[in-house]
Amino acid sequence: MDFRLTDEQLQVEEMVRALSRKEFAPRAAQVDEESRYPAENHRRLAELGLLGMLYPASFGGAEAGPVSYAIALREVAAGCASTGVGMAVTNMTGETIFRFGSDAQRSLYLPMLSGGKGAGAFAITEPGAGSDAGGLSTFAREDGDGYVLDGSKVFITNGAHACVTIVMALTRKSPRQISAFLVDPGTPGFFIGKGEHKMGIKGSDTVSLSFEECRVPKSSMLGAPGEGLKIALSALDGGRIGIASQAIGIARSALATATEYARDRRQFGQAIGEFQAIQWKLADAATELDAAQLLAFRAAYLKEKGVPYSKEASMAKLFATEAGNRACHAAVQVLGGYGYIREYPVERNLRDIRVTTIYEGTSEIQRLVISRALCG
Amino acid sequence: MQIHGGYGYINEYPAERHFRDAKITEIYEGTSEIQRLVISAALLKG
Repeated sequence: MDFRLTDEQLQVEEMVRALSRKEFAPRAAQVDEESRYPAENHRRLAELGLLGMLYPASFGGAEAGPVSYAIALREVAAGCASTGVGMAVTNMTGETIFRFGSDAQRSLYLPMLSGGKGAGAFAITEPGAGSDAGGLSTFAREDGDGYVLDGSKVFITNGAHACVTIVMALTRKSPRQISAFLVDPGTPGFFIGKGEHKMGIKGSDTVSLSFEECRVPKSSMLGAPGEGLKIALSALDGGRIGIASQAIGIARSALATATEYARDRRQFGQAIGEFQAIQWKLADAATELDAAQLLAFRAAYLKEKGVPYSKEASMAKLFATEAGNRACHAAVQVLGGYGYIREYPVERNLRDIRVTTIYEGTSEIQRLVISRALCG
Repeated sequence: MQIHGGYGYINEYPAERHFRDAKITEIYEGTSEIQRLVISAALLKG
């Protein structure tokens, strides 16, 4: 078994790490302080081919493959978690359109996404439908040569900056049938709500959407009627590798800060890094983050090979996000009082990583997915 | 916070403030690590 990265993967790692350190990390504190969507970061990601990593060049993509994508996302998130989640959802949107879209839909939207014209957004969650995504109630009434959408969505990442939003809606109430639609910004009856005030990833756009007699043409349906849930679940499989990578990036960044601090900070006549209590925290965090990375790479590798990877992706997301949270708690603790002060990045790392056990399928849902795969 | 799901992450609900506020209590007035030293010293003293 060869655990080494390929030359191409190493190049991606080097390039994105440099970009993230040089351009995203220096702005991250200000992005957080101002709750500002970092449009300039999004533009740089587009310039370097990082927004369409999972589809072919014929549609403007970088066709980098899931492993390189996992590496790139990790490095971006290590610099700025908000930029990372924006990149993740845009890539997920593009990949979903590539896999399930018609040629017309692909030709229209994929170059826009990879070119950075706008972000991509995925609207499943509703005020009454979170973990119970299938319980959504947004309705798409068939009407002449189109559909009319009515309903609302909440917590939609990139919602205010998207050039296309994939919207899940009921096309039939009984028996329930869910379908996916591609909705353009500015469509009459499509309203974008206020941004949420969040604990972390404050530079990420998190908005509610509402549809009031919003008419879309038949050609805007993604896939066939009734394929909505299948499309959503398939997108989330890949999305889980993305979030696992994001968590690993944030946590590694926090661990690096803590390790450097442990070398420099002296108490009781020695560097605190010489105390076992501190050493064990760093060792545990480093071990768990390496384990998380291997889980993420395994899932990405299976995906690249074209074999089922749902259980493995779920395991990676569950473990990486929970281990990442533990590592960020440890990092704050190593910095002591300074870990609680905004001038040091670890309190932001902790606030940013806290959401990762919640979105794109809570840890609790991941446990259901995994146990169902085990028990059949 | 986890029980609140996504809403636990939003300022409108108090859960995330409780999380942020509670964090410092493991650090000030003697970190958890120092408390472990105090406790183990008391135990080992016999």
